[in-house]
Amino acid sequence: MPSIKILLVSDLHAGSCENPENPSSWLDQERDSTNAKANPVVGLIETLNRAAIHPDFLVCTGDIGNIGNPTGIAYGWEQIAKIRKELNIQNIITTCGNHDIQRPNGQTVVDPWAHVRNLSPSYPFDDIHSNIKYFTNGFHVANYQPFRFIIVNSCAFHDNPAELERGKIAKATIDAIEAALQVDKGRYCCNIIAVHHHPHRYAEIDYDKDYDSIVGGSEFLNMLETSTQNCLVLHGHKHLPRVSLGGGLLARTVLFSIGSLSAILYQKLATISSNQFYILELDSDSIASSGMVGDFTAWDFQYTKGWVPAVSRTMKTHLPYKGSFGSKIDHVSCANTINGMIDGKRIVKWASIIRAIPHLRYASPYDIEYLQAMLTDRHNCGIDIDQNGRPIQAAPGVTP
Amino acid sequence: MTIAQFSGLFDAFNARAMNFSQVAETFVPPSFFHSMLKPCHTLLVGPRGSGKTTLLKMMSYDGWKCLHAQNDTPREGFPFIGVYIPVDRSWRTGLSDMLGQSAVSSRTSNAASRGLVNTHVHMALIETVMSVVSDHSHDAHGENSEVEIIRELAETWKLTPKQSTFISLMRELRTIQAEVIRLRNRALEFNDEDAAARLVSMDYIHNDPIGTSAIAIDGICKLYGLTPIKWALLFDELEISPKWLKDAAFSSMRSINQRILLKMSAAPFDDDLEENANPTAPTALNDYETIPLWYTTKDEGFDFCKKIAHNLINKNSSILHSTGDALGTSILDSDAGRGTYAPGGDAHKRIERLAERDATFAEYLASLPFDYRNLTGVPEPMMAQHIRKPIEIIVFREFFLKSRRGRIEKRSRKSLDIYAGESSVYAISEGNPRWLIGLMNRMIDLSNGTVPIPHNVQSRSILETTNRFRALLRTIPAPSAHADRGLLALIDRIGSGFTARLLGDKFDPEPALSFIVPADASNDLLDAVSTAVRSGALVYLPDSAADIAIVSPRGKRFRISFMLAPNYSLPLIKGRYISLNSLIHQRDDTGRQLSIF
Repeated sequence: MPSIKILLVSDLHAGSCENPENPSSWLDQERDSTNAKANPVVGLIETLNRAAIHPDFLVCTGDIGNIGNPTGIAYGWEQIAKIRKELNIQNIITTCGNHDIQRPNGQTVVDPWAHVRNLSPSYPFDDIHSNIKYFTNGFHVANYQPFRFIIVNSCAFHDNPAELERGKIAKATIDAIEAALQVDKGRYCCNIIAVHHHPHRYAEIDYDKDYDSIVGGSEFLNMLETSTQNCLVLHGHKHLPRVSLGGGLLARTVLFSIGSLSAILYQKLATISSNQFYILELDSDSIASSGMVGDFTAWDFQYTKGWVPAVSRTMKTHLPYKGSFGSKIDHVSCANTINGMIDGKRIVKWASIIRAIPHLRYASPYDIEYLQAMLTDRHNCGIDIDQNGRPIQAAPGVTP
Repeated sequence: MTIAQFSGLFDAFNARAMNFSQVAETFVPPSFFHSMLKPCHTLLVGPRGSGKTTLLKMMSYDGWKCLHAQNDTPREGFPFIGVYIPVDRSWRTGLSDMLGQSAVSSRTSNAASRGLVNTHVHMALIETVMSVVSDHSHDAHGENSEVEIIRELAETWKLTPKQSTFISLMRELRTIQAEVIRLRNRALEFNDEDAAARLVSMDYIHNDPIGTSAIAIDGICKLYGLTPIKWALLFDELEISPKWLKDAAFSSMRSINQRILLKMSAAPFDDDLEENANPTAPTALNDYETIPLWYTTKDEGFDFCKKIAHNLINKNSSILHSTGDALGTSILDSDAGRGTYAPGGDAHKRIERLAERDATFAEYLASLPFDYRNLTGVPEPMMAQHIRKPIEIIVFREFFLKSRRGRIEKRSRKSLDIYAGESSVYAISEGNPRWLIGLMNRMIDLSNGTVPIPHNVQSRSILETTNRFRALLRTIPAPSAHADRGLLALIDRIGSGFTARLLGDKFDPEPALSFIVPADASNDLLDAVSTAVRSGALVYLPDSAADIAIVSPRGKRFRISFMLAPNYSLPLIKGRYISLNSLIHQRDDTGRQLSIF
């Protein structure tokens, strides 16, 4: 399996809401629409079938249900199983979200995990041994050489009501994961970590209220980065599409924040982002030569229109239809090189720029946006980006 | 009432929603296609569905490429580089109800209209240029030329794209377009004077869209070595554009440089095109050529319809069927050979049958200088004048009239096979590709794809299509003063007037089946006739090519669309003409004149 395609979904928040005036999700067992333009799961299946995209993995980073409602959780899990079956996806990687755990609601809950453990098909993995390891150790390792998945339960402490509002990875779990990473490390090109909560704070939406990031997240990222291995962290929870490098000491781990598949976004978020799902493409040879790099394709959900190629808008809170990640860019020297190639009068195709600066191949949408701004501000030139979010060419400004 | 206010019949076949490749796939060039490609300004005039959009799309650079790729033929002989510009209704938002607007609102609407026209025209031009450049530019420094032309355009058009590239220019135009709409909405809907002032102060919107396009084309041709090639701006649906653009387009036909051609499509009888009112304005056959996209007689569109029908009939068929085999011969073709007039021939039988039940027809026959029972020896001119010419009238009276107690009366006919058969089906479609495709597809569906298509299936499809067309006409309001009656009331009055003359007590070998709009017609009536022509319910019958007027129906001759003929039991000919007044003004029992206008 030298290269893989991963279908990424998260935060379905499925289920009928107690308050029909204020539903939580486009996925609702009461409506259960078969219309691809109204039902994100039906639409997703249709979109990928139409595009003849066949993912090898289905990754779901939690919150399949909403506020611990068992009916909604069961319905959400059914939807995940439906996606897997309809698209004939061999492998599934799932982790728990804070909404998948039964809430105390003023009463004592003896075993908040009971309903997810009893789900059918088996949750979160196909075999009971993996499930036991996941719930007991707080993580599980799934090997698909040369790719290795580490599935982490950031809700492991949620049987304690005081921990419900945040994620947490115990120091002992971090140590155990560190040890696990050393096992057969030469056989894997990278480690793909699936976890629900975000490992460090994001201030884009809740500038002063982002209290729910993982306790122990910094230590976790430091551990990953000092492991000398390539790591990609896939997480959900914030409903905030974003891909970035960083968090740890060396800022070399890729953090992919997955937007919500079907939660009805609250107004502030809806104005700057949208429901999304993704196809991630990872190639072991490229990772071996360039580090933790990859490409993604993103779709936006618009109720009554269904899934459409993601539109390009502000890159900080949204991902465009096509993009890459993983390159560590020296923006200043790149801008100087590109400006030299333009020489005040030439249009330079992006392919030529990549030949001159190979690591720009995996520049993220933010890198391109920043490079564009730097070229405009400092060199009176810029980058043309197509409607899919891909750079096409660099060119001089209109005033010579 | 504007054409924009009603939806077209059979919109599934509307070329506007199709891309160039889809249009090229089913394109059948009409006989006048070559005239349209001539290097002169052209005005295509036709009602809804007459194929204006299809033709303009196929004249565009990308359409032409698709057409030739489809036919696997080389692209040599490219007559010009066509820029397809679909007119957008938003160009006149706020302009149509300017009466009573404040000066600020009026200025805002005007400014927004100009901004939107400029951005649409310039974007269409740049898209075509990008396509042309990618096909023609083998110059290693092509990209330098692009930088140069964008810098020039930015200065001329008063734009500031971020980069000197076509892509960046397109993005800038899209941004301006969004900004114009935003400021217009704020100004008009929320009385935001600041927004109005900002809109009016945008330098770019004050460009002359045609003049600035011409400048751009000049520069592009020089830089890319395309000097001998002409360019054509193809404005589709000019009738829904604002008046200022129509004026600019017509005046450009005189003043624009020789490299640029204007080819525009419009609906007939557009009040805004008051060419005669302005003595310095261009006139038809002088500065531009007018091409009507409709057929006045049923034979004119036969070949064009035959090609479309052939494609539809054989679309999913493994065996190639001829259209003649599939649709059969029409009863109305009974004058095809002289044999039909010999005793025992179809026409002869019909003449005899009608003579038996219609005394006035028998009188007509008795008055002839020959014996109708033996027509074989009758000289040709006499035969043509007395028998062949009125044969369709004879056939219709024979088909629709019966004798009862010595009097003739109209019989009710469940089946209208009289309208079936190849030539009649084509005539009923009026050579309107959208109608013909809708009609043929229905027939093919009803016959489950079997050939020949039985005449009763054809007549059923025709009746259904006629009824659908009537349902559409029912939704079109009549001119303002008589909004409660609807346009269909006028059409029905005209149609039943003709029926009375065709199937009345007395046989008339040349009954009136067309009318002239009187010189003193009211504005309401003129508006109603214009709307009916644009919708396809009435067909304009110009006396000559020079008479393809697009301004006013006053004094012009019209007939009912053949698509509506089955509803009034009318033949598919234009007949003699009478004044419209005599059709729409009737008297009640007391002699009082009743008028619907």
